[in-house]
Amino acid sequence: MSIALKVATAVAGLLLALSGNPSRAQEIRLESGEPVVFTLPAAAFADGFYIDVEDSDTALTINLDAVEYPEIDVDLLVRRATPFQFDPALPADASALFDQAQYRSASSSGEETLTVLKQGRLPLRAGRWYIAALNFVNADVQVQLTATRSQSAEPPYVPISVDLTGDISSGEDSCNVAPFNDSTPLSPVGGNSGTTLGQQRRNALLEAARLVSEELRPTVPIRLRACWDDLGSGDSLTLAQASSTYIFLDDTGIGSHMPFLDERFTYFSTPASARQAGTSICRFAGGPCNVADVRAEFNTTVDTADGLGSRGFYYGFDRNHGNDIDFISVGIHEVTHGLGFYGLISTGPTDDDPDAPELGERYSDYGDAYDNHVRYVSSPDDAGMPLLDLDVADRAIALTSHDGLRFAGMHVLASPRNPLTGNPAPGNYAPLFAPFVVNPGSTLSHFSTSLSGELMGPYATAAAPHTLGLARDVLFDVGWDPAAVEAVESFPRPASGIYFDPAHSGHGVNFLRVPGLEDFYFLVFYTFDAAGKPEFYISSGPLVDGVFVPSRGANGDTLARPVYVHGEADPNRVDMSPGFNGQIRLDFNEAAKSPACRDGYPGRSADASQAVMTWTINNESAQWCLQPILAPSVQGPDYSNLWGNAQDTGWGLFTFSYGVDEGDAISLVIYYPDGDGHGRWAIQQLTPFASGDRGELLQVQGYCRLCEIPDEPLTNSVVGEITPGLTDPDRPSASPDFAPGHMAVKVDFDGNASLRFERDVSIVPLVDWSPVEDAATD
Amino acid sequence: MLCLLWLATGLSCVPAAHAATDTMARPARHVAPATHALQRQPRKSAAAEVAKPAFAPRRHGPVLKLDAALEANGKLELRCDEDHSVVAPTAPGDRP
Repeated sequence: MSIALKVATAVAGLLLALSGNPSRAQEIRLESGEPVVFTLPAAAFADGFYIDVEDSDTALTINLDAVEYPEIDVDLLVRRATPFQFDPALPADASALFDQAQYRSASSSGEETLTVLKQGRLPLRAGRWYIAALNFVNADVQVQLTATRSQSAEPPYVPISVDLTGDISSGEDSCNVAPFNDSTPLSPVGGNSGTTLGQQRRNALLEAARLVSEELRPTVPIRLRACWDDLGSGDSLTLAQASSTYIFLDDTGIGSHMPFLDERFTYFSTPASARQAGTSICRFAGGPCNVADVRAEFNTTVDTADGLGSRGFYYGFDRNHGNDIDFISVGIHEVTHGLGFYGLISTGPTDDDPDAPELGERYSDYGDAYDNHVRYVSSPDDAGMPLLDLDVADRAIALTSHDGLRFAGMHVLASPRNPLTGNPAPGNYAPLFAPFVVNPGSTLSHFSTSLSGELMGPYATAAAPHTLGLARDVLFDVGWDPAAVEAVESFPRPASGIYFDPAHSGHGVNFLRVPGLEDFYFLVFYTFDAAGKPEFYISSGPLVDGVFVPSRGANGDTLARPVYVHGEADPNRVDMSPGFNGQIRLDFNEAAKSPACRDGYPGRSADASQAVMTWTINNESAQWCLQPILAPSVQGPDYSNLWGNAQDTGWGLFTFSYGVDEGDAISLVIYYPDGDGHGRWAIQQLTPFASGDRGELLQVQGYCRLCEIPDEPLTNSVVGEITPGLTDPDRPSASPDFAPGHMAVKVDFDGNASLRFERDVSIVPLVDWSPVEDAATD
Repeated sequence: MLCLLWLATGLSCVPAAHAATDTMARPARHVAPATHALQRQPRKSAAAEVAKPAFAPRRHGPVLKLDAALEANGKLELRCDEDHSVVAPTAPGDRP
């Protein structure tokens, strides 16, 4: 019996399907630029492809095409250094495969492509890159896969494309493009050669997109959808409006694992996300490929007498707009907002939006690429506080501080376009617009008027800039320059231990390394039911790039509720009922940036050992910020482990040794089935402890998972006794002097003797408790 | 070797310092990789289709507006406005 199997059976026999490390039966090396063609069976995938990248390579482009049937949904997943992990004996969980992909192209079409550059959090590095191709339709499909290495010194340049056709996908707002075809004759003006109003509008918008493209040098397709609408009339109206179509973040717990983004738990604009993903929005985020990255609307009435009287848009390229409104400058300004120049903090309710949150409140608990760089400076010698770290009241003060709101991104601080560059901090921070009386829409998301002549100032000026100016550096800081992002050098590999959230103390997990398997873990979630009674759930799976990625079982759960059937020869089951739903993910990467870890709750470790646990049990779901329980070292044997008996499964004894003044102590947790077969647990701490000591077992009266932690300490009652005779787990079981331990236990759930669990058996340590080092990415 | 870059003098054809990708089409190689079944919908679901992983619900970015007002003195004032109403609240654990 494998050690993994011992671990599993010791608690609930859940890992019977485990057969050890997946065998790499057949791998196919791809040669750069040489397509391979193969058949993907219906509802299946092939993961055995790889290409070896060299140091001199600057780009890797991978294409997967459904031959002859581009409408068939095939997807492309890519990761470096280690293969995709799954159990080859079972159908694979597509979600688990997606959560292992470092890059992906997963549109709803059969034309997938992505490019990895030597930039970003997971840059192109020398080594082996693994590729998986997935077929989501119930028909065989022939596909062509090509991986191409490039050594070009220049990254690819893909100018922003402008959709003037109003092509929309299902669910999107309608798009009026008739004004782009207005046949009203006009004379060419200011370098715009159009001879109709529609032509001049098209030419001017294309020129605006060209100017932005030349400055930003996009490396992936970015699509600007331009529409016209009635945005008001008279002497006060909206000239134009724009947005990033969506905002994206990397949080595997909410089904949004995007490890290619520059930061975890941080919102980025659609076009910045696409740049970091190395592919277009539909391919990294799914869905049809006619979705725009940036949407812009212009007001149809401006060019009529109904809007602003005789004034109208000026479509020339030369900024000689006179009393009219320079269309290109308006277009660049609005598109720049859509590219990522915006904050996600409320400027308070308005007549148009009376339900908006109060001034200073955040629209999301997650950070965002723009606000992460904003600081509040209250005095000239104050380095400033991150705006997102302030409470609502202080953020409101910052937003109305006149000159205290600053943008402190790396590019802005060093930019030759920043007139303050060279001043010592905070004198080099770029001031943002923060008038004493908040100006909704302008406050925070624009430069201060003290930076005169800037495109992204709060008021349009006669200068009508056609360049991004300092906004270019802001965009670089909010995700447009992956070259500046620090690459991940290693992924966390947590040691076996107890992890808990101080805000939910009493609940927690034993996260345990399975010996003999590479980065494979067994998890016990000890918790309380709605009545505060102890119960536990279990899971197992690989840790991939610092993320615990268990696959769904046949019943669709990644977190199982153990069920022990008394009297059966094989008593260990899991709850397969349709009414049960259990899901879990643990992410040990950059947890400190997560909303769960940034809640300000006292006692958080605030170091790299934190993890975000996302769990679902039936209709309950939450994200908790876990940290390990750290205890003083022991002087004698470290008995910390999970113990069990391979011939008698369905329970386990967890032990945790730690040093105390009197010597060594131990915490014990017995996981056992109650009379109904439901998994329960009871505890004891023995201080000092020597093997063979006897102790009472206590049942803790806890509190439900989504309840606030009680003010008073949890109470407990004696429900049994235990006598653990433990042997040194560091002594290999194969050594001549190995001897199993022994455990005598009896425990009555809720003190009911008719539900007694009783054993007097030998036990052996089952998990790897040794220290581990993080996994280098090289 | 492909000649990819011309020096500014235009006098000689030299290979790029970092040779760019050879984009000439190459014949496709037919292969037969090992393939594996994808898990169908969980047993407790009535459906029996292979499910593509559901991505998190999308959230729209804020709409930034540029407003114009014609003042009594004939001056045109332009200023921005912002609509965050399309940004949905966060729902941790909301894996569709």
